[in-house]
Amino acid sequence: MQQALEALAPEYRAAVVLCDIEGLSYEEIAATLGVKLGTVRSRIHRGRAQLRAALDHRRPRHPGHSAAALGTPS
Amino acid sequence: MTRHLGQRLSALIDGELSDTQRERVLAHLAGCEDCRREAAALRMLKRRMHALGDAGAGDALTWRLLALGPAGGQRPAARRAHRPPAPRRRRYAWSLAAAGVVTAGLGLTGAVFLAGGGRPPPGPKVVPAVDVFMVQHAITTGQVPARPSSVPSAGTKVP
Repeated sequence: MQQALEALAPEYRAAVVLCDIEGLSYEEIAATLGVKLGTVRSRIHRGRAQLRAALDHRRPRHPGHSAAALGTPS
Repeated sequence: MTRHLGQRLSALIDGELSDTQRERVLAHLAGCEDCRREAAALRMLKRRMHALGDAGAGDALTWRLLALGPAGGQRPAARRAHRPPAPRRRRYAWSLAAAGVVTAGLGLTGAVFLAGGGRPPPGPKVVPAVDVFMVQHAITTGQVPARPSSVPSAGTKVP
């Protein structure tokens, strides 16, 4: 997860990290990054899309299920 | 990614939609399996990110992640607990509503004073809290209201 985050484009990473880890509102993120609210919204959405794509690429199945199903340590 | 709701799904799980937008999105979700699946996936991702923050000692991790690239600007505000969705807008609406009620109440009281309407309404007598307060205030401060007779329960035992 952390690797996927680090691989993210900086502007997307900043928006997603401030939103999901810091728990800031879109308005606060816009003020922090000095961008418009609509930009925050689109960066968060695109950032998540890229994160999901990166995670899917690394682990085709959800780690919890696949590890249990295959009997391999996660 | 879905073609249906797009960014609005992210905004929904972040509690960043207005009430009207939220209703629209929820109505769409009720009839769209694809979007429901998408919303569930986004919620899962958000939970995992949140857990990462808890495990990664919050600010230190955030700061390191933000410092990785050119977008890493100023240090964000202090980390806060996970908020319930959209409290801000609702709180604002409530304070507006409360202010409206208080203003209406004060206006009504003022109108009664100006009109000098001293006739109590028929039926069981209910004394508004504002009137009780005004009587208590008059008693404790010795300042008589402009027309004490307009307050039905006024003791008028003011020194």
